[in-house]
Amino acid sequence: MQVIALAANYGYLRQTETTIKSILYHNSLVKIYLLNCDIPQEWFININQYVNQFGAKIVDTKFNPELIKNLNSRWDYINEMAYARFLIPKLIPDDRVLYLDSDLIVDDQIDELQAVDFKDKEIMAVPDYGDANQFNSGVMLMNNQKLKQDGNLSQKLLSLSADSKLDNGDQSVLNAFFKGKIFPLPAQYNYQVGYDYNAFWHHSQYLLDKLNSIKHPKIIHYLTFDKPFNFISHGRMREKWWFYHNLELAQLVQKHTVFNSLKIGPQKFKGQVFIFTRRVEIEHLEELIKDLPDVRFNVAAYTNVAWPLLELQKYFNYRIYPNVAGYTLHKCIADADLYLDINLGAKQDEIVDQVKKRHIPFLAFKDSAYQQPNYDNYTIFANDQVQAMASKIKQLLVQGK
Amino acid sequence: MDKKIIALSANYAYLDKAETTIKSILWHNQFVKIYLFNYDIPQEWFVNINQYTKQIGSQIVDTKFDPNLLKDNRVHWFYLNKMTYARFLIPAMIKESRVLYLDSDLVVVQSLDELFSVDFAGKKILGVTDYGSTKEINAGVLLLNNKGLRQIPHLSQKLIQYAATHNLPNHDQSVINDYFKNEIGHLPLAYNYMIGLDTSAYWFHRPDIRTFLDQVKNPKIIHYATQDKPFNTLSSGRMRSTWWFYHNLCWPAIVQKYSIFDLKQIEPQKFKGEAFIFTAQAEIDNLQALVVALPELRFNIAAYTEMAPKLVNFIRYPNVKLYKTVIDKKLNCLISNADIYLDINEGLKEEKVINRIKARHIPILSFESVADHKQNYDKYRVFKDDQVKQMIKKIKSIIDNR
Repeated sequence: MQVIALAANYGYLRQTETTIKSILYHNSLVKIYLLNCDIPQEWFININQYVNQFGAKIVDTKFNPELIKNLNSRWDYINEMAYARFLIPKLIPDDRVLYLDSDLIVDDQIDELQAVDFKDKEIMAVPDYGDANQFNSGVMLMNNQKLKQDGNLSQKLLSLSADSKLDNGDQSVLNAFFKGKIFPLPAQYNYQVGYDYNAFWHHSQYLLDKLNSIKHPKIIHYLTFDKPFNFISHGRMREKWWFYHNLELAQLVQKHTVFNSLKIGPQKFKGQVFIFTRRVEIEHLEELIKDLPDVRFNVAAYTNVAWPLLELQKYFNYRIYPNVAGYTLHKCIADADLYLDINLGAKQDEIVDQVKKRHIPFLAFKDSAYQQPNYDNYTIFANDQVQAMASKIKQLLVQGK
Repeated sequence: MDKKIIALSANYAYLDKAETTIKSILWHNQFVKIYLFNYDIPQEWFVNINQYTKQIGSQIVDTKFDPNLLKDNRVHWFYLNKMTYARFLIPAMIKESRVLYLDSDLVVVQSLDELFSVDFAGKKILGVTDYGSTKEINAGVLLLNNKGLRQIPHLSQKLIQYAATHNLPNHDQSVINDYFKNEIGHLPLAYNYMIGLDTSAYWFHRPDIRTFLDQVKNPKIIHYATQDKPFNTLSSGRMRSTWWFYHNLCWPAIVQKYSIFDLKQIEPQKFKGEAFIFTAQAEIDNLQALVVALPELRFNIAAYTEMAPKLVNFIRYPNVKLYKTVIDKKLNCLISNADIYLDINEGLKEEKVINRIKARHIPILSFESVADHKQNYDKYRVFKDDQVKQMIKKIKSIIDNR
């Protein structure tokens, strides 16, 4: 399976989705990690209902926005998300990762990149058409296995990125840090058509010759400010971008296999569990979520919640309700088949009392449990008995229904 | 059958929200003509969406306006922008006599047919009482007696000015309520179910708002007013999944609900020929008449400079393609694809471009007042300024016989 990484914020989702559609139009067995902080879960669930039909997968790779906060570049069309690519060694387990910018489209099969022999090379990329001494950072084939050997690599790259005088943002950091360790990929893997406009207005014969010399671009990169998704743009190949943009997901599926519309629809769960918390510490929450994909976890709080509870939105069976109130809170309580009393710290007693009125089972770990629960259907597990609790939940939700 | 007329307004950044509103409308309603007020949404989006909607008898009209019209208008809330005033442009830009204006943070969840036969009973605007400030109607759903409104001279301009000079707390909504007072009538609460007030009702202890919400058993339009939007990364109110249902609807599925979806109609635009115009000025004689009369001809208009809004707004016609600050590669392409050159721009002519056209031996047509009368080119044909019909006829014959 090919592994590809993209990074985008919610405001750039239209562009990223276009990149994804272009990749999957020509390549089917692909796992795409989408690094982001704020893209709604509903988007991921929906697109996966389509692309899973032909063996592809879009992974919601949430990271804490604090990691790239205040990183900037001197170009207003490059924001801090440009530095998210440096998180790949930290966030992606796979050995070989192709990183792609979201202002490009893939216009052909690219699975041969899977077979390229890295030998000792750490990164392969295409030289920047505008500056032959630099590699363009928009397409990078990363020997992630080797890169991950330095456990602090992501942190080092981000520290260098804090320099506000960087000429070309993440690309400057990349070229400085890996000087002499980046090896070239053929230019067709990063056809920098965005230079069309510069080449003309700056009368750069060098750029024009370079652009003309490449005959069969596989990846088309609309770099510089002249983007095909702008209201009006100047460069070539605008219609190609819009072809992929306008491609409906059902048509995309149809390209590879028979589209099954029955697989599109609301998620189905065997049951719902509820947790109301006042602190970010909830015992073994992530393990339980991963262990029980058929169970929906609703976690609510009266306040805003810290990043770890937001990040868990990457699991499609988890839903966080910060600042919960009124109708939504009533619904969480009314829909609960089980209450997990696994949040540490003070409890929200009046909520717990409301849940108790529904006579549903409560499960807790020793450290999180009430000293005196005053409730007959209250089971306490030892702190390390995650498996036992998971089995109990399975048993209750299958039997209880 | 008369189409039902609906108006929306959105900028490019809000397009996925407006598209969700549109999907919801068309999921429950056929034969709708939707005017989408905007100044920056790419033409490609309109061309594509219409290839689907026309299969079920509906149409999305690219209604471009000059954003400078709203330059003096202000907003107080971070989740609003100046586009909120675009609804004031309806009387000036839409001719039909009955128009339903809808915000783009709402979804339609039932047929709206009844609204299109409601009696205005002498009122100019019908709306739903704002659940949170009950002396006003909420401006998110407005049924406009556009025939009556259009009889008031310069109404659009007056409303925009009124908003700019009064700077009222509830923006466009205050202006409408202030301005029309007794000419406002009421629609049932179900036509603007203000679910977005869920959270305010709770946090600000407003049982009155809850009473309104609880009264509506069968909403027709769900309005996610306030900042708690279902498309936010996280939101607190009810009916988030309703919004995402419409957002995630695929266009073929919407067509399929009413008709057999024809994939062959989804394709790149096709034209019978291409006309080229190179200009240094926004004024191009009779351009609109030509563009409307010749939908099968692609009009490529290029300039070395930026273009004024007046010219940019021609992009609302799907057969007009604009190339501002055009570059060489593109220019070469436009010249070599041209079947005809229209020398109808006012002001300076670009000699180099015209010479390259002549070298290709293709016809050049012009009008008397903008023609270059010194042209020594046997395929240069000048029409009188009022001979637009003759020029159209000539263009058709050139394209058909090429």
